[in-house]
Amino acid sequence: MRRTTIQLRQAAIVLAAVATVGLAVVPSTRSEETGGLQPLNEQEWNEAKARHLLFRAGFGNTPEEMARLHALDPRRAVDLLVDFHKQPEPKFALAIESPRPRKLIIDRAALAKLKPEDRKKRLQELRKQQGDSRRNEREQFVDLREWWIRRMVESPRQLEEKLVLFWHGHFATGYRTVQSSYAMYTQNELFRKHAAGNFGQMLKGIVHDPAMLRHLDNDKNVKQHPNENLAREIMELFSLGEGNYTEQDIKGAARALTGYGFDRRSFEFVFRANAHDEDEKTIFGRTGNWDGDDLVDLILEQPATARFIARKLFVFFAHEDPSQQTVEQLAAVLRENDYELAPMLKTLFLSQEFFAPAAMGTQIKSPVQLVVGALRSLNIKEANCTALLAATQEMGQELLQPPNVKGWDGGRAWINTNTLFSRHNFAAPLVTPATKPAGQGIPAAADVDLAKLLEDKGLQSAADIVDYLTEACLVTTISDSRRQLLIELLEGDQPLPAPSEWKDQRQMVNARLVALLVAIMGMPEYQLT
Amino acid sequence: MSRIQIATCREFLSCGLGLVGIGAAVPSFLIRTALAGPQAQSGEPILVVLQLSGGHDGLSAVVPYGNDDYARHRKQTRIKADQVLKIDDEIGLHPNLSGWKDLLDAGSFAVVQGVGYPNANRSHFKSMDIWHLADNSERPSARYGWIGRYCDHAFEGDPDPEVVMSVGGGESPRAVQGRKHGGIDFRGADRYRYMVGDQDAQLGSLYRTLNESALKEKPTKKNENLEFIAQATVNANASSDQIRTLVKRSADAGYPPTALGTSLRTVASLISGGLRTRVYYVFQGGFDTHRDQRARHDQLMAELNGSVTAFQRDLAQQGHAERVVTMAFSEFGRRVQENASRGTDHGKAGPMFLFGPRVKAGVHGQLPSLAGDDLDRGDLKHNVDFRSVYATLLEKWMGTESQPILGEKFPLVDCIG
Repeated sequence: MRRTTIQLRQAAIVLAAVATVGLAVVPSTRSEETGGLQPLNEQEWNEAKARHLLFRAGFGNTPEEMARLHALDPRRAVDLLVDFHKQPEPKFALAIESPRPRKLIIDRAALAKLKPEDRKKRLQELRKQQGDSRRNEREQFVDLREWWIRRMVESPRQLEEKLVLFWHGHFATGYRTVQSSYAMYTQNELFRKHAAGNFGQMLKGIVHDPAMLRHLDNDKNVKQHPNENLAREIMELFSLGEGNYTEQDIKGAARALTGYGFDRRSFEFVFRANAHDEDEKTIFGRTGNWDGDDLVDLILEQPATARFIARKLFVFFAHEDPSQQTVEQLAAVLRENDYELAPMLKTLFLSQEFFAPAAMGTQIKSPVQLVVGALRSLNIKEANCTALLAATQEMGQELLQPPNVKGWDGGRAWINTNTLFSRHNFAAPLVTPATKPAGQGIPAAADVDLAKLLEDKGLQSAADIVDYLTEACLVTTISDSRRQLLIELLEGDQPLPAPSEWKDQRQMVNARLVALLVAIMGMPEYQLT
Repeated sequence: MSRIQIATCREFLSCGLGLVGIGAAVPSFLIRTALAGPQAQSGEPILVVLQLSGGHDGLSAVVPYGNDDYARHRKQTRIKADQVLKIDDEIGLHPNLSGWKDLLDAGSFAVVQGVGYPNANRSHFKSMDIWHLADNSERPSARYGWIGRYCDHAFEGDPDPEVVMSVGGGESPRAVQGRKHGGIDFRGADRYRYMVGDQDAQLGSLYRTLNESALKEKPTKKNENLEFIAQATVNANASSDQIRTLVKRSADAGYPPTALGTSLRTVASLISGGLRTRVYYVFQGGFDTHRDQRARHDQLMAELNGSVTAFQRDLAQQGHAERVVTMAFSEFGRRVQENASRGTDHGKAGPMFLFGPRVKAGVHGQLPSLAGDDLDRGDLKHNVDFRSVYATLLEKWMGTESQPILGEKFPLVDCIG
């Protein structure tokens, strides 16, 4: 394995040398044309690239934050984003109690022994407890989802939250089957703990994760009746990818995972030794008395795993069509660092291919990226998280409830005529009078006082304001004629007063600024990042 | 496409569908819709799938009123002989299903008794998945829904988002998700539009201009996703106009003002408007009647009866009834023995319902025995696999092979004429 890595690195160096000298004798692929994984030259670093980096390694930022990142050289900028653990850990309050039993079981035999009048009373008490328990669980789940999206909006460690979202989509687990907000919370913290840490540790965490064990029925995977659900998805969706394992491997893996369960009351991992198959299993041609941890080690030895993870991260962060060479090189970095993710992420974010035309401004925003970014671009912190979650759900992304074990497909799959209207109507509450019934079902995500946000930015003309807001909201530049349409909208019949006079005419100024913002949010460019 | 055809379809669009001022970028699918319009009206069969979510107590809809075991198991939830609308000496319809009884007498309603599947799962979520996917094989395509697979199969060379439309649901049903088809999710005419435009006409028109101009401009750097989004926006707005015009014109055929009534009313107007959609998917929830079932279920029956009966009447008045079969299912039936809360818990087999002049009216299949010894741990055993009903609809109604879609060959049910 080491040898392969070294050979690949040498190949990369040779290719890089060829590209630098400009002697492209090998048939050129796009990644070579764009410099592939070669680090970006410092002289190519500009504001647009700083913005691209910020919007991809996070959910969005203001032009000021973009300028701050641009002031650094690219290597330090990438280090700052990827080494987020060097920044203090943000605190967000969340009261998740240890799990309650989802359903109180009423012991009818015990009830039958009571006197009739006592029985009735006891039954009423139990029913009330049942109801309270269900209601608490529902409320706790709402709190959990709001806590998470608030982190995305407010956390300065943006890449951390972006990666947690990535891992949630990768190890897609849905609340509807798990039915425990506590288990969903501990899984979310698992993703956060290893977000840019070690993929091997992450995968080991997953085979011990109660939410996953429940979601993919591993609590029913016992020696006498192996259940292959988790084993299959680990290989197909979580590590190797289709075509890189056999049915035999899945059978072996399922047996290795027998007995990996959880306690139904505490939702803590439990290894049930009596349900675990202690016989020899053969996985990838290797025979031994493997358990779940061994299975992960065997999976990590397969080169396909590093390729699969590297490719998926590249597609999530850069663009959908990496060359085989790019994937191989990223996979090599991952293997060379024993599956530590940070070095690979740094290589990716610094690479010329990450900043290639195929990547910049071409990604269709996920619903979460769209709504969280909308607030972050304008530095709005007081979000109505309920509204944000409702909006993403309308747009086809329900946090903690991915559509299936494959997660969200992303890209163009986000777009159909219905979700497109939902994405555009996200702006509707901004112009809907409060007297209207809550924007006909779409609550406002935040109170937006644009005059306050913009008054001290030194913007003198309508053109300045248009340029500032388009820069904050769009990652691509727009043509002069379309920019002119926005300026005309803002100016209306009479010129906008200077910011120093906004105080007295706040309502009128805000109405016009909001109209501009809404127009920008309806542009096709707004759907991209 | 030639110039003349475009002129023709423009003409059709503006005259036939009340669409004017779309501008230069006439969306491709609308052109196809318009051209297919008259032809579609003359023949293509349409399937409407009605999902009864929550696990419907079939025994309270098609009531075995003459069965002693029914009387024994059901005390609080029982519907008595003098209340049912009798079909024969054994079974009758729920008293609130009078419209369905009329449909039955008119030859437009069929029941398939005792439908289920082996190793039934009592989880709403898992069982619903099983009905949606209808493939328990390890085939990679088994992740997609059966309707999605139908679309992938029948429209293989020419994927068409409009061929399946889910109307009024909270989320897109897995059944309609195919490899190449995800369908259109239509949650009601009122939200299928750019709502900013209602408040501010100037912003509404600028929105269209900004999207259309993004398509017309020749950018220095090609950005395919930008064009894709702009085109999709132009399409969405054109179809929004079209669909909302159709829905607005819909006749009042006496639909109840319920979610299902509204959905079916929308479906009827889209069918009349000549959309190319072949499968519509609609929902009625609330069937998870663990407690105090009778009053709740009576209400549900009234709503179902009103909505479906109005739908059939509407289709008939507009001359489309012959083209449409509606199929209703639920993820499972309920236990035979009612519980101590005057309700019923999750069970197994139950009836499916079919509507339309082209169904073979009457009762198909056998009601599973309700006798204690014949039950499967307290549940009705199924006689008919639901995939047999799917296979029948695919082959006898939609005119396609069922095996490539369902993964294996299922015996057909003789319920389509």
